[in-house]
Amino acid sequence: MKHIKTINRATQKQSVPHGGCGECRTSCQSACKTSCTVANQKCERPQAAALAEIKQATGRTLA
Amino acid sequence: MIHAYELHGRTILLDVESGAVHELDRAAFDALSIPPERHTSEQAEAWRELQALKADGLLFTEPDPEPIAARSADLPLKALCMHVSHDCNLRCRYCFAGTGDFGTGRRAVMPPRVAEQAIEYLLARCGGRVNLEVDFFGGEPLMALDTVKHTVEYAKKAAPDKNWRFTLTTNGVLLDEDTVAYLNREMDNLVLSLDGRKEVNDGHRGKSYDLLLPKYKRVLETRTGDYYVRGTYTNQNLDFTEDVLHLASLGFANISLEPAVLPPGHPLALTEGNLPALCAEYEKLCGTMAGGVDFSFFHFNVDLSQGPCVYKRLRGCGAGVEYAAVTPEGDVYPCHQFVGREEFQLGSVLDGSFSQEVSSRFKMLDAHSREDCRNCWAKYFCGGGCAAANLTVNGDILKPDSLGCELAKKRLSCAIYLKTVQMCD
Repeated sequence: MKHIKTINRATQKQSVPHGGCGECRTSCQSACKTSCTVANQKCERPQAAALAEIKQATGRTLA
Repeated sequence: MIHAYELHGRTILLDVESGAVHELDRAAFDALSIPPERHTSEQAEAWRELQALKADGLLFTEPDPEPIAARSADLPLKALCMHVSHDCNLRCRYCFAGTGDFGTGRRAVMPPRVAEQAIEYLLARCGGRVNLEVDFFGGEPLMALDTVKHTVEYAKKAAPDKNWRFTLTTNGVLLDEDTVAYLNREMDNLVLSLDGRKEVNDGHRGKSYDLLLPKYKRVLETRTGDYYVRGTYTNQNLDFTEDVLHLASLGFANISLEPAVLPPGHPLALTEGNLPALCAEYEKLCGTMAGGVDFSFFHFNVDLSQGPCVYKRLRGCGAGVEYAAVTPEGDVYPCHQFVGREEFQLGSVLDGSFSQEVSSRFKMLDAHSREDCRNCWAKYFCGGGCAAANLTVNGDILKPDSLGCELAKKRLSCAIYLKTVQMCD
């Protein structure tokens, strides 16, 4: 594309099929603790497992 | 929904529901706000590219109904904030915790037996969760180091099959060689409080700078695990970029500086009138960092590609549901900032009680339950905000703290900008 450069693809949608395992760290957005805001947490599921589940659920192979 | 903005000469577009981020040139940016029939040829070309992104599911996407419907599912408890000490040896002027006792009038240390009951409480309610978290907090938790050690040992023995993650937040006063060695061994994350420049820190934290700095540098020399040096800024240091850069100049690589949470009218409280200066300061800090630095700033850390799933993004912090705080007496609250507010007490580790009625009030705090949040571009990054801040500022856990929201949005805009710079340059 000439006018647009995509920095990040639609990863949020891609996370829908596996349903949320709940194993990620809790987050805290208040000022008193340096724990995680929601946005900078890592997904705890191994990436390979996540991609395999997405493929199974959607038939799509994601990079 | 989209969020398009300019920062330091770059034009950035976030597609809120998909999480896609694009950098636009001027023609594409203008094409978003000008009716197509009035587009120049350049803008018309850019508009066709924008429509192609839409066709690929990367722009103007709709919310997915499945995670929205699932967000209020019953979730097990998986994290405890253990107030092992309701006493403090520093007494910072902006302390939300009543200088350690959380307004209870009782300065106390958690007995080891209560700590054991807290761990059993967590284990009884964690379901099949493998990763369990315990954050040692206070007051000052190193004033109860024996309880900390006992808790770690007890938890590991009680449930060796769980992946325990321990964190401790300290003011540093009691750090010595043996304590640093213990914390390096047992704590997954260590949070060290320091507010930045000496005059800023000592203005609120009892002339502690010269005492703390050599202790923190010793941690830096010996620690391989995660750590953060974190400070609080108030209306007295709106130029907090200087404090971040000062901490970086001391060699600290992981830095957080966060706005004080104080009731309206407090002499150090931030106000709506401070907002332009605060936003300009965050822009200044991210502009400095865009040039390349060897430290990270906590609130500018955003993981665009491997971040949390949309379920987590909707549920937010989990206070009162997945996360709770325990006092030295064994009382359970939705989070550390609710301690002492009896109307929000969840239960007690002594008798195992847990109020579903109180917990259910916190389920309503997710990013889709309230109209203000539902229509906000930042909802998947903040997860619905902070109930405690809402209560402190507005007297209602459901009513967003508008100043906090604006600061969060500015930080997120800066964070996405920094990611764009990193990935494009």
